[in-house]
Amino acid sequence: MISVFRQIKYAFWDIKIHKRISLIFFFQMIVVFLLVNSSITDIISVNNGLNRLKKLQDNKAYVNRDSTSNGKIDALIAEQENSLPKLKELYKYIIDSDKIDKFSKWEYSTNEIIDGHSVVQATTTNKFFDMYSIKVIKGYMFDESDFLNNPEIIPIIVGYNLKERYKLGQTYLAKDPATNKKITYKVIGILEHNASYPSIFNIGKEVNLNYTFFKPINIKSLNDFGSLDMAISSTIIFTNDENKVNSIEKKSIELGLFSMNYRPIQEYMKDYLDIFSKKMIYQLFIAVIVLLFASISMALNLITMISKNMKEFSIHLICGGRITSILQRILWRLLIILSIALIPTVLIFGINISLIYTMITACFILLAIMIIPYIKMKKTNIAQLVRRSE
Amino acid sequence: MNISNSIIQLKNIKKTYGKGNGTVNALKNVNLNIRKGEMLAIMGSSGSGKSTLLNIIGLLDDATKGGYELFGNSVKKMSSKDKALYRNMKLGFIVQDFALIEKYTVEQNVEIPFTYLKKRISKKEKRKIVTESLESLGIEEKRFELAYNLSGGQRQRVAIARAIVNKPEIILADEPTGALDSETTKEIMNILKELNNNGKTVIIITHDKDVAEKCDRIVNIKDGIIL
Repeated sequence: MISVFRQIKYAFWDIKIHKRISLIFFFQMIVVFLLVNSSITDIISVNNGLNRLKKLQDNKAYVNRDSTSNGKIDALIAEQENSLPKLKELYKYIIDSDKIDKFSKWEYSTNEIIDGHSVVQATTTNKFFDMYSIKVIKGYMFDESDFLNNPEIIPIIVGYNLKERYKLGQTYLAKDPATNKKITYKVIGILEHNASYPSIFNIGKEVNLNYTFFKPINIKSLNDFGSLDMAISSTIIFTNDENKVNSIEKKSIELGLFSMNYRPIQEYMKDYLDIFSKKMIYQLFIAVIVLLFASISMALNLITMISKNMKEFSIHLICGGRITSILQRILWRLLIILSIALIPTVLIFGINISLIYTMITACFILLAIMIIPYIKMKKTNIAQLVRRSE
Repeated sequence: MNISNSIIQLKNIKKTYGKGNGTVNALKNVNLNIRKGEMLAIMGSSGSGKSTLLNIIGLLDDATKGGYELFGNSVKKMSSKDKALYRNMKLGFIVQDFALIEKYTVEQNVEIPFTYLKKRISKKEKRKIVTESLESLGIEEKRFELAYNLSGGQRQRVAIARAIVNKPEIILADEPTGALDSETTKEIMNILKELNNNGKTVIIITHDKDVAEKCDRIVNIKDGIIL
């Protein structure tokens, strides 16, 4: 143990003496660790995202990817007198179809800023909360009547960090960001801390709801183009019968509205995974190239250092050192550099499971670099080493 | 010679290098006993095998054949860890080129053997031992100088201080005066003689007759054979 501490001391001296090479290796390792950690973090978050979306997949979710041209949308907006009743009819057609389960959810950013976060107003149904297992910690969820009636006072459920601003049971007058009309809201529930749901189009991203408040979808209150457009396009349909989603697409065309394209969620997941895999391969390829370059240059540097330090090592050997103690000293030198190079990764990504994988990568790098000096030193006879140093 | 007092016993030691036609017999059936407290010179020309013999005695190299007992213990049965411990505790090495680490101070050079000590010793004790060693060699004032700045004689004194800092029983000196002028050679030989007078066994490899004559016994070696 005493010898270990002394080898660490010598390792620090080595770093100090070989400053330039140690610094180059240090910066190379920072890049490698950042790339490796970022890749592992992405892989883990995408994997978590896929698991979170599994419930939607199991429930045969269909997601709409609208392919309406901009010209068509402009025309619909220009002729709102004609298009608004049709939009309402289409949305009614979607939600009145009893044999299919569905939810819609869309959001607008309000002008209000709390703790540096923009407060978001989301509109949805209870199915959204069920699907992502989002719960209230105080108060209660919307009931059926909240979706059917269009009361003067609209019930809202607020995100955890809005609970001080919008107190449970209180009413507030606020401007609806969709219509700019003043609306009275009443807080009926507070969401659990860090309630979130997984993004479908950016798998792995969890949308945090701490600064979001929800109001129920109420068809009677949907009278503007923007809200109806959002309600229709954001609807996710759960069905085993593909004809049901086809009928919605047909209905939209019949009404001369959007070119809707419902696809099973697994197709989105597959598409995303294809793009993600390519990104990961590219990212890891760069990491491997930097790593290879760094490892080879460090291994060569170590060989040069061993050759240059042969005299010093031989002095240690005649004073009672062993080849293993010299290897230990080289190992400590690398370990010190690698450990310090991990600090930026910890500061940027924090302490999490990815860090453990990055540390395992660091151990592999250490072993890979140590192979050459190990073979070189193990093959060396002490007497040869002493003689060579003279 | 009465071998009962021998702390080093070499029996039919052979050392060969290389294989096949390129085989070199560095040592051929070398028998040598060295008593405790003896000052011995091993003389021979370049390539005679004297350094190989010293490396085997100093546990830096293994004999190809034959038996070697150090303090009554068979070297064959020693692990590399045991050998390292012997080198640290029982043997002190002095070599021709002084073997100092130039970028270290005198103190740091002398302290190297403490790195491999089995027992823990305090900084205070370490400092005391180093001071004693440096004082006994008259170089205490050079303690914080870099080895790079020392003269040849001073360097060899530092090397001797390092060799004796762990209080070894045997001092192995490979051409200790080879790089020194005649005046400094005398001083170094006096130091080695004093160490011998204080009970250390001193083995000197040399091709200098004057140096060898200061020793109690001279062993001549030629072509790997002790004459």
